Amino acid sequence: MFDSKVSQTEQQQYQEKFEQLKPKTPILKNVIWAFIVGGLICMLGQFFMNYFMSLGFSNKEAAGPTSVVLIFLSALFTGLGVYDELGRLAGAGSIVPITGFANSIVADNKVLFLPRHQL
Amino acid sequence: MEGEGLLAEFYDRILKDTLDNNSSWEKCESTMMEWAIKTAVFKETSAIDDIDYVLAGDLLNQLMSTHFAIRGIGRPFLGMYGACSTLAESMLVGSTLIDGGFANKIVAAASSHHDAAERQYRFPTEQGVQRPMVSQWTVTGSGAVVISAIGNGPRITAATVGKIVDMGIKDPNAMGPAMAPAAADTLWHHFDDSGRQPNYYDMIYTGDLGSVGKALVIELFKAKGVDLSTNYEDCGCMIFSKDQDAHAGASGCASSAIVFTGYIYRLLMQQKLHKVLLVGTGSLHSTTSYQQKESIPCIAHAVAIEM
Repeated sequence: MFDSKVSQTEQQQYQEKFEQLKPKTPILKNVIWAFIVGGLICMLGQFFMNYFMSLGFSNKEAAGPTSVVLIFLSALFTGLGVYDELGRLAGAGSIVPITGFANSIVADNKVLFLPRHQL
Repeated sequence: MEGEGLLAEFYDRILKDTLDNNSSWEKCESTMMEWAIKTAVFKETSAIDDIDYVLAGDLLNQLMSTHFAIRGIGRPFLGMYGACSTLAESMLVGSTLIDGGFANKIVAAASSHHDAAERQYRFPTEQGVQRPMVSQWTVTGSGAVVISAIGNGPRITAATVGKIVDMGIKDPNAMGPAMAPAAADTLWHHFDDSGRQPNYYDMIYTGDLGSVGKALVIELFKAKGVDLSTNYEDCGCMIFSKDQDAHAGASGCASSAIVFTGYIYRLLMQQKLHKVLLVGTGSLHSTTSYQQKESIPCIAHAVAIEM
């Protein structure tokens, strides 16, 4: 069907055909989910921030412990296998906040934890 | 996930999770393959020692799962790598070994594991990423076949070795579309060499092109004036149901392995199918080639099985 060396025009024609048949990303659905979940994560952060400020921290000082709590929660839920389910729905909504960064770090290292967890 | 899919009733054994009491996914894949090989040999009512050669492979670097599985088998072994086309490739080489008189009985096997493959090829499974709609879900499973010089089962009557076709697709999420031209090319050459027409076969199955790749194969043949849509199906479209969120379908060595050994073979034995063409499809990229922005070279091998 193809010559031993496929020409560039053939490659281009095929890639165009592929682009036509490629399933569409449900952008609207993804954006709404990202907006809601991302917003909720930020709201959670704000909740902790207010709590720390009520303990007498200044606005700047409260940022540190707030990130620590969010990172801890994200790591915990990554370990429990919840965060990736959230990420599947929310996309950027759960990747962009600091919790997404914590998730990627913990996910990469889970291989080290797994055997011990099994024991 | 496979056990809740469309072909659940055809599998010999369904594991309760992707670890099955092993300490790693890779070990689980090894035990799956060892079990599949032993069960296939047992079903054929022969002993492991009757097997002249084991031909097997998987998706992991250095065929890790296969080598650890075969360690417990203790028979002469040839490692096969054709990515997801491994089962068809092993069957093809195995049947030529038998036809050449170099063996009486061989085992061909292949396996893949979703979590182990994802970790190697894409992201760690726990990372919260959104998979694109064109992506496919690597099947966790293993299938093994015994090919013998004598017996009453279906016979391998023809086979076509594919050549590498690369249409310049670079997205490792779009493996089905990348492999579709290789599958079409092998099919074309198979019909050309054997003088058979597509309608000679009751069914033509490709390994793991998924819904998009399958549509592209039909398109490529339509452009050549051949209608393939009536007796052509893709194993990757047969494993998961729509609501399992696998997007474009299934992929991995196990896609064609479990569909062939579980479903197609059973239909052949029940005489519901008589002539089948199995086309294993493999995308031969590596994690390094992807990072270096290379395109995906693909291959497909065809094996004709008749009852």
